[in-house]
Amino acid sequence: MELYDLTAVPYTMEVTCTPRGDRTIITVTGRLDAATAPGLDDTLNGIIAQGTTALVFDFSGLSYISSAGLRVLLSARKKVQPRNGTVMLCGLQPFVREVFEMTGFTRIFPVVSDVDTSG
Amino acid sequence: MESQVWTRVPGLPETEIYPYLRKPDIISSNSYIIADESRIVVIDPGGLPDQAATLVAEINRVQEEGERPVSVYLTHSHLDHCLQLMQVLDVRSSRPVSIVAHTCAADALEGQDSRATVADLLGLDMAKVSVGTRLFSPGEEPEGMVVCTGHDEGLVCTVLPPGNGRTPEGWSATPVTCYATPGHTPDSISIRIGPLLFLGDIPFAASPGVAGLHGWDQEALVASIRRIRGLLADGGIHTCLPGHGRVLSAGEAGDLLGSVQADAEKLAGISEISPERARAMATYAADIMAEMDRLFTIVAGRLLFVTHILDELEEAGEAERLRGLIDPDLIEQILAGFGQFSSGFRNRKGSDIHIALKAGQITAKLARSLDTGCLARFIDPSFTRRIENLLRDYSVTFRGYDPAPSLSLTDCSGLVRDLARSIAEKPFDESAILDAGDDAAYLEALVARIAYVNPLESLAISTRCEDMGICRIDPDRTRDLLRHILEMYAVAGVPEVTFVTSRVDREVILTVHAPQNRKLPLDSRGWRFLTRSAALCGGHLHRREDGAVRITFDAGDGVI
Repeated sequence: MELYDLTAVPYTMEVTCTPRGDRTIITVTGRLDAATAPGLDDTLNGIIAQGTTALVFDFSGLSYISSAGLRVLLSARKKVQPRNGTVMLCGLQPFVREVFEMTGFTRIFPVVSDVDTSG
Repeated sequence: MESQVWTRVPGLPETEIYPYLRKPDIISSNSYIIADESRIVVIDPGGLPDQAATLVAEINRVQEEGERPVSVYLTHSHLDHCLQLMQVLDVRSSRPVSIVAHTCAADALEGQDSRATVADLLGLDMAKVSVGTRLFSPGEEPEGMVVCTGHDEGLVCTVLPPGNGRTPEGWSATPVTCYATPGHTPDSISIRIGPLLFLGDIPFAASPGVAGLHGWDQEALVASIRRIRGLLADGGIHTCLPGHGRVLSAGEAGDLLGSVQADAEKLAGISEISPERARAMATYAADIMAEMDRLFTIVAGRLLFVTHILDELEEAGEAERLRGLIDPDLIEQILAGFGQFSSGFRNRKGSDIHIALKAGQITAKLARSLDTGCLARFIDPSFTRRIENLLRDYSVTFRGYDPAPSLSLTDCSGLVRDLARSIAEKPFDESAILDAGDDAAYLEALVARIAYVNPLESLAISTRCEDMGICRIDPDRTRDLLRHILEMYAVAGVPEVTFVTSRVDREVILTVHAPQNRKLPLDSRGWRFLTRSAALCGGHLHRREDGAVRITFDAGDGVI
């Protein structure tokens, strides 16, 4: 029902991490907000602790991101940067793309169209 | 007075009260049972089955101590007060349970009037109920135990306890005195039993989302509140029991009713909250919350961006000061609260009024939590102005009015040219960092430079504007609307946009074109929001077949 579009976005998020060469592709789907961001933060802390320094976020299935989600990405960048790590984003959907462009985050994170062009 | 606990009523012999108190909502009211040796009185059985079951169990328990007649009084006919009436009639009693209500409430319940009972608004089905005792019937003496005392122009009826004479001198128990207190509804009554005064919904009758319900009458409400305040001033009443929320002392109730009266006196000409208006409010609320969510995410993200850069520049102190300006988690939590609440009502009958009321709470909470004045250090004022307008517009709608544009005669072409020029300008002085005389000035200049993010910098904006583009518009809102449209084009990767203004008869037409008939990437909600925004600028928005957006404004005579 159109009236409740806002609520049609699922209140869940799923994360899968796939090593590809020297990078790890982190596929995030659903909604990255204050409720789900801690889950992604835990996952990222885990893979960074294992030595991963090149992170590629595949956001092609991510419909919403809030400031809490942005905070997790910044936190990951701060952790890998001292080890010459990189954080790259791809597959940004309209709402997420708008947030990155309007906030200035595209100046911090390189954005490419899809995973295949990320490295 | 504690909820669901029997309490002795001071000043009334052998009388106890059982209040069933609920936090205010529109699902169910408070209920009260008052019992003495000769009778049991129930006031408002409420709207929830569990609540009614609790009341029935308590009444049955009291009956075991000695059976007494039971009367159910209704403060008015709204279904949150009486939906469970039939269930409460099922108490243990050898005599029929009598229902006492204003004659208009009796008509509404017996006639299954879905408007008067707000069954239509709440999406509820109501059973037909027969009311035994009608109070305040015009021109006829109430039957049974009811005697009108006749003073105060016949507005006061006194319901005699059973087994007594028909004159006050014969009473052995405290009478139940009902006062006609219309305004919230035509059938509202306030009920006094000794030192207790049951107010129904009078304390909420001037609240947004309640004021304007079918039958609401400003003049009658103000008069009723005056009357109740007079009763309180006369003394003898020590406790006031509202239809929702906690019990009040007479002093508290007097103060509250004073402010309710003041609010009510300001509510001239508000719209009726019909199911159609509730639907429009709910739709508007969902649109506004989606836009608030978008704008707030941008504001909070921009703050995060600026503080991140400051941290990297080892200006942690300044970053911390900026972080203290807003609490993004709190704002996000408030907005998410609306989404979760709405999803709980998805596709349910009667959901509109619930969503409209929730949005009223949420926008009030956001207005309290977000100091937009402090955001100007790191974000374009257009964003804060848009947030403020959204909150204000919903607040106006919620109070029963329609937001209106602040129209002034404006040179539309000049406005468009100024906008295009201002978008290309940097909002800070390039030399301010070098010229800074102290640390504070340096940090101010540094933050201004870092915060400068122009999402429109990749968009080439050109204008083809005729002179004589004078028209009646709200200039600030129009600038914000045009910025919004430009942002949508820029995010969609459109490289250039042209504004064209022209005058046709008594209209100024402003058209926004993108090359190759590129259309704005908006869903139906986005278009609905833009259309409403254009109306609040004083214009009418049309989507042209070729993808352009056209807004027409009233040009009048076209001269200032």
